[in-house]
Amino acid sequence: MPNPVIEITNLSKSFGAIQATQDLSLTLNFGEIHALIGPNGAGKSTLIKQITGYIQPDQGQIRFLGQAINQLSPANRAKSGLAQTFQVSSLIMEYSCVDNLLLVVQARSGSSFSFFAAVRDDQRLLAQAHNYLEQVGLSERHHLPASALSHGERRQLEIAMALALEPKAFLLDEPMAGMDPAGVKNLIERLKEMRLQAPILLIEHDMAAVFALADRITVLDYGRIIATGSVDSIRNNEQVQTAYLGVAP
Amino acid sequence: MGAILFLEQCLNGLQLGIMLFLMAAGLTLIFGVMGLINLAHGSLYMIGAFACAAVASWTGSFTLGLVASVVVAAAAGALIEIGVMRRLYQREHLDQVLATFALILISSEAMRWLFGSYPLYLDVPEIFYGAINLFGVLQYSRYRLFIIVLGLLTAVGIYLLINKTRIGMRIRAGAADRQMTAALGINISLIFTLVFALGAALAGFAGALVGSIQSVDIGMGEPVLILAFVVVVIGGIGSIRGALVGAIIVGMVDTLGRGYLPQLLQLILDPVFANTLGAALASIAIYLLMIIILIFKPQGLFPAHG
Amino acid sequence: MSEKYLNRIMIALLVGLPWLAHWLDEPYYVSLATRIAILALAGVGLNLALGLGGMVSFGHAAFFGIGGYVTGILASHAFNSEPIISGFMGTTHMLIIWPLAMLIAAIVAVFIGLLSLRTSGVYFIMITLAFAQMIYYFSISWPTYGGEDGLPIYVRNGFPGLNTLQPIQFFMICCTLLLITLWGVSRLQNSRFGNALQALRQNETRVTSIGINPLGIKLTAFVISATITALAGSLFADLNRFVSPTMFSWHTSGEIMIFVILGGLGRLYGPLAGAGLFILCEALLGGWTEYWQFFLGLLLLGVVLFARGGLIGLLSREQKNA
Repeated sequence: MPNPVIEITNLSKSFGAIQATQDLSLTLNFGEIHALIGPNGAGKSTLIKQITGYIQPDQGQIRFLGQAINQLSPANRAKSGLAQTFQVSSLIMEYSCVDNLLLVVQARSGSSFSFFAAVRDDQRLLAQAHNYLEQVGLSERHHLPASALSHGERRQLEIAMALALEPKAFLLDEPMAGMDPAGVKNLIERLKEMRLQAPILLIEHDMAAVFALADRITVLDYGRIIATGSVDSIRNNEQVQTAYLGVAP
Repeated sequence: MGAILFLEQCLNGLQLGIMLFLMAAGLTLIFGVMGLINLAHGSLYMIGAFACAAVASWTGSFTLGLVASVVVAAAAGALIEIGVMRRLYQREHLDQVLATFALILISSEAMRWLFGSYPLYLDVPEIFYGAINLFGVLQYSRYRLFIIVLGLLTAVGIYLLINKTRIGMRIRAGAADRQMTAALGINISLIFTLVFALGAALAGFAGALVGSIQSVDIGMGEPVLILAFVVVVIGGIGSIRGALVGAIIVGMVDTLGRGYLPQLLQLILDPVFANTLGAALASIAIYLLMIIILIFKPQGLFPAHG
Repeated sequence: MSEKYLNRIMIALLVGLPWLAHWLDEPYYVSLATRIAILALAGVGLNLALGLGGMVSFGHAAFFGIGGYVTGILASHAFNSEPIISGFMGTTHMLIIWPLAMLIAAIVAVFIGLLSLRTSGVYFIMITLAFAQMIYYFSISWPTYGGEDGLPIYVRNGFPGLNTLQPIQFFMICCTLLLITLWGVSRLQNSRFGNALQALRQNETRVTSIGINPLGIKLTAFVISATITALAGSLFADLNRFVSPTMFSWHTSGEIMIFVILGGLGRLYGPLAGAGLFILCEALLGGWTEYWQFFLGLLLLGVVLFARGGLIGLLSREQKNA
């Protein structure tokens, strides 16, 4: 596996007068959890959207597994192994849990241009879908539509969908948001396992979780990196404390 | 001679454009403020024309007919807003399209029921008979000139109303942020009814003015409605300024296209074929224009909301 | 009553009643049933884009009309023995006309779809309407094939082994095509493609983020939808033995949409229920009052405002399964 898995160099993006990303460079290495923190509006989500391809950067390069991916469509970036979860749960609401996963397994294993054979008759796909559901502990809820799930369960299902892509990198946008303490604890354990499969770029506001998980932390403010380094070096960085940790609750 | 004809065609294009603006202004306001696609806007145009024709023939006064067109269309608009549209603001566009399509069927048949299937004709007052000499060279229909001037005055009036008055400010606030406006204690549902009635009144007024040039009949609102939609889409949905620019562009392209495309094509093609092709192209010119604009500016020329 | 049961009753009525009418020597009712089958087919086409894919196309009249005009043009060239292009004299064989009508509609649909699918929401509704209007006005102002007056088909096109002039035999052709298409769409609905398409309607970003390219899926669905509606247009031309620009008009687009909605959006048999209801309204109310569309309007308004599951939703009292 090429290392770094994701390599961003000199990325810039502005919306009118607002510089959302300023000459930003960072890497995501194999085996690590790299946390991205910063106050609201620091440009974290804009950065993720540039990596996933929903926003085109003005300048700079994004390499994934050694390949420049700037020209790839969002769908093709996902297909090449970038899995993401969204800040606000994004599911196929009328589909059952297992059908949500079935769709992912279908997308990963071959084409969606098959018009005749019933996808739910494919036992191999179905078994895989159930398997991922089991991994996140949602097996008993498999028949429920996503819309009937609790907030925490929806987060779990999102994680399962990311897992089902069998990606080469995870981009997780505030996975802990709105979860109760037990759920957070659970998710911390899950992320520790997931990092063995593929490295994680983690945006998170829950600092306890970040300090518990991250190998490296990068702090963004006004679209720039103001500090990057190990958990300890960030914890003790004055600039970070004034810009971010100082105002955190 | 060619220059004079061209001038006349331009005035005709301007006249069409201004009438389209009266229609499009209501459509785009209703979309901008309430987020509603209203296919039944053409029916209000038709209702205005019928009201004008009925009152004018009953009282013998064209002026009273025009007043009636505005009043009746506004009342019909308010009624429709309160009875139907309110339930649609939060719905998907598909539901809005279908419900307002249903309103077209209902109002067209109701008019046919009331007035019969034959077109009505509107007589304009004598002072508008014949032509007037413009710039010393051009004989131009007095009535058309009258509706150009009246339309322009109305357009200025709408501009002032939206941009300079208290009620206009509230309408703009409603378009920008409904919840905020409601939180400020402005009666949002009254604003919606007013906007709808205003749009309806403009449509009815346009219907009455145009009804006197053509005839007043059941389907008269539909071609205009679709042209007005083209205007709104070209201008950017929700933008009054876009509606004005779009209306003038569409009016000009349509009129000049019909006038000159066949002749232009004759320069390079066999005359008979050029005439046929020119006429066919002219009839689709504005749709081509709209599609080209949407390819380059998918939100129209003046996107209203960022 | 379950939806499945209801669907079977509808099919039984559609297949059975015309034979009864035929046996009672009432060809009018046979042709009424034929119209239902054809319009239902047009609706099944639109339902694929609208109900499954969430693409609110307000321009399906374009494809309905193309199906009709391809049929009319091929037949009239064959009738007058004038070549369309050198060596090809047109044809009166349905089995050649259908694929050609569908092919040409597919080509046009690729073009319209590629441009329209760049937009969304109201703009998509309006741009599809604009394309259909463009073809409508072109058909009126282009005199070669009758212009505003339309184009007659002097003899109904033929099908090997059948006498298509016999109402019941032509009905059987239309009905069989409808049933085959319904079966095909039911397969498609549950296939990988249908799975992706229905997911796209609900959440495009999510589907993109798992590696499915939305444009490819939507465009394909739009094109298949157009070809089905074009096939219906071809049959409609043969039913009336006449094509006219009305087939392209935006009222036609609206009516096809009405079939889908009256029956129940996204339900496989919805267009059949909707077209049936529409034609029955036309026949029953139309016999009673000249102003039947007034009541159709009220009915449609009522369904949109208060009965969003359509006729099938009302009768089966069942939520639409996703």
